[in-house]
Amino acid sequence: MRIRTLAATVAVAGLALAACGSDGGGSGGSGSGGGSASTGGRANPDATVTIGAVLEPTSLDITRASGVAVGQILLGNVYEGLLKRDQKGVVSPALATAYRISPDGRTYTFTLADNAAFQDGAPVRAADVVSSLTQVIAPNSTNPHASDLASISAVSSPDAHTVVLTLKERDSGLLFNLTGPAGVIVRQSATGLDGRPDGTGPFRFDSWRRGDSITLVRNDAYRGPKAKVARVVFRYLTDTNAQNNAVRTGQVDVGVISDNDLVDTYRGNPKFVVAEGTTTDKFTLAFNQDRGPLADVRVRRAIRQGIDKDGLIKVLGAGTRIGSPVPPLDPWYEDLTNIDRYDPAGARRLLAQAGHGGGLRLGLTIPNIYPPSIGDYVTSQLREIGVTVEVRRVEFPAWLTGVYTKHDYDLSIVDHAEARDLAFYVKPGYYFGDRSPQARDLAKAGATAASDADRNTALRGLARRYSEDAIADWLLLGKARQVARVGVTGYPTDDVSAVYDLSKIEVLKS
Amino acid sequence: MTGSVRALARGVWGSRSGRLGAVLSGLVVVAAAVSLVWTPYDPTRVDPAASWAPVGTAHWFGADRLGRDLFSQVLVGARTTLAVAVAATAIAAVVGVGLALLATLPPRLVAEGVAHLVDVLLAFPVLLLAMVLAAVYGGSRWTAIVAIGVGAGIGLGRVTRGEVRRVLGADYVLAARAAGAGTGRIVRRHVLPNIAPTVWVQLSLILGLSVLTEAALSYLGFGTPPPTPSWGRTLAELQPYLTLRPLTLLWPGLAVVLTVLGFNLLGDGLREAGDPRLRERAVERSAERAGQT
Repeated sequence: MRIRTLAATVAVAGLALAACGSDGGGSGGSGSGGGSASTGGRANPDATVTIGAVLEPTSLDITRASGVAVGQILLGNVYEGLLKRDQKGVVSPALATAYRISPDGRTYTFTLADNAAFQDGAPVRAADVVSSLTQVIAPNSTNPHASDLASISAVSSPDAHTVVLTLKERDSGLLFNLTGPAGVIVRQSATGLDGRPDGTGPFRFDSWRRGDSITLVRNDAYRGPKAKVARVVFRYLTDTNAQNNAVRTGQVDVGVISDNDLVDTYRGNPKFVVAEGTTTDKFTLAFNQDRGPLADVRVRRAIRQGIDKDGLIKVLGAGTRIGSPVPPLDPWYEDLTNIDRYDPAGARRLLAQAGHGGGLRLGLTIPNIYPPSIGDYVTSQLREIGVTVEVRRVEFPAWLTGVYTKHDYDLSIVDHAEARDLAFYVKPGYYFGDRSPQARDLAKAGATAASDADRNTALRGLARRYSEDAIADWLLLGKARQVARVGVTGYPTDDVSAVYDLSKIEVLKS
Repeated sequence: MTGSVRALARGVWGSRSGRLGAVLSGLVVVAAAVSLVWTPYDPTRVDPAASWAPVGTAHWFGADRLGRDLFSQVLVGARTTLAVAVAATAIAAVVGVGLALLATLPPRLVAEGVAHLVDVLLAFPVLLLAMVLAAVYGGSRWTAIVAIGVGAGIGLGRVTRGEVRRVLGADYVLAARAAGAGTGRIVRRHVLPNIAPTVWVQLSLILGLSVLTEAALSYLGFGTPPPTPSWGRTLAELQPYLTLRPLTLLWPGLAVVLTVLGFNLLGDGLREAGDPRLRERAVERSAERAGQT
């Protein structure tokens, strides 16, 4: 789970695929807006769509691989779960056609689709579901997302089309978690998933040229609406300029271009469409509360007050201010940006009260996958309040080992990309080091709430406590930007669900 | 010795390339010195209001995306570059001359071994060596200094070895040896003074190479870490905007080019000043010019 969070972090941090916006804001171009629905009639079903992606998965075994990069490619496209979620996080049936929850909230009964089949035509049986989910919840599970389903105590199948999940306690997040990588259904006794992903979705895995591209092809035997293109190629281009050049020269049809200035060059160009939207990329300045001056809440609050988040958003040209790890699309969102607002004088006072009026020296560890500008900005701002920051840019594996696992850091900047990740921060051993029993109680109350309203109240309280305790600073919520060739439509425009739905992409005949 | 240095300086100033090289190198030294006491702005201070500020009276070279003053960054970058280049060149001098002596002086087995080792090590480009060191020890100014110094020192050792052999084969060394001079004395009194002109020329070229390599390493993220300004890092940060804001890249790019050019021309000047044949040719040329006018 821990790895999951962080690897996910990297993935979306690098805008793993095509982070884009709920506003669906197509601009420029001749009008076929980014991610807009099919115009019908002129679509080319034999088309190949090439998508410029940033972060390549390390493995295609979705039951073992960490990170959102693998999920974004395979989840919903090659693999399916009992349920699925859309760009807004709304849950709907997938392999299950219906589900029922017992009044005490501890028994979930799913009815499976009659005609669901794996890609070789073998039908999906209840035994496959039981096997898949049992492996995730097993005590020796190697699934990095196992904690998503930790509330399940047993999985059974009274008949070939029914699956029953029995819970240890009520879990208000279970349905959402079943739509994630922990909930994918693989064939009973499936092996070799890294080399040959085998799911039930609208696409089949075709090939993986490591370091270059991953290709999926349409699953013509899919039980639902067929994909609208014959082939999708994810091409990995980590460099901003390479991605920009690939879009501009037509080597990719849809590309991630996060830089404001570069995106601006496409606006008004009739050959391209710019699509912008929200993400769940929470660029987080983590405080190590386990050691040194950051164990003192006054120091943490001073640092929060010393950073002008609006200024950062202005120089980056994109992003939204958030005062907690909750993005505005989440049902328990509350505007907490008034807590520890930018106030350098107040920050200096707090530091003086904490005994650091003469200055403070801290280390800042940042994975080198991020551009240096965010670290430079934070360093400069903190110097203004008397905090000298020594920046260490490290490879991501070194960050994972040093910061995440060994907690050897003072400050760290990482993009926490996962949706609805509030409860992660109270997990024992989490790298923030928060030990607040009240926060744990609120997280528990949110997870076991009997109603959505109760859950939202508890999680709203949890987010407020995080913010008031200054367990971290939330620098900004990232904005997603894609640039697409005119004539390509239906690509996802939001990056809030860690799923990149390819099934609606189509290419219009020119 | 002071007299010979003065004569060398006069010789450098007397040649056109040496003069231009001295002026350009001097400019870098002055910029670095000035940055110790004054810069228009704190070069690392972000100012959202000045984001992409144009060239003007407020910001002579404009400002980058974070609103940092580019003129201040170039000034402080000169200091960073010069510090790395001078330190790396000093290491190169020690490594290079040391290797040259080891590869020439007895015992023969050691000398031949070192000579072959130098030939092998010469196959590793300095940049590659620096990247390997940076990967192992992390990118820092010291990593860059050591990598450039050692890498360039190996090249210097290869070039200098021939000179050392030439001096050791000279009659006056034979005479010194016959008079009972030991190896240490011969090296001090005869070898080092006589290889000095070659070494000086090589070191001036290594200075230029160091500037270029430091910029390349910082550009690739293996050199001077943020937030210390460095021309290479500034170039790397501005590179995505090459077509959008080309003027911002001009300044750090120009600084690198002029500095490398300066040190190389200085090397040419030193070579001319230390080589009697080139000096005579220069005198003949100026006499011809004088005759024409």
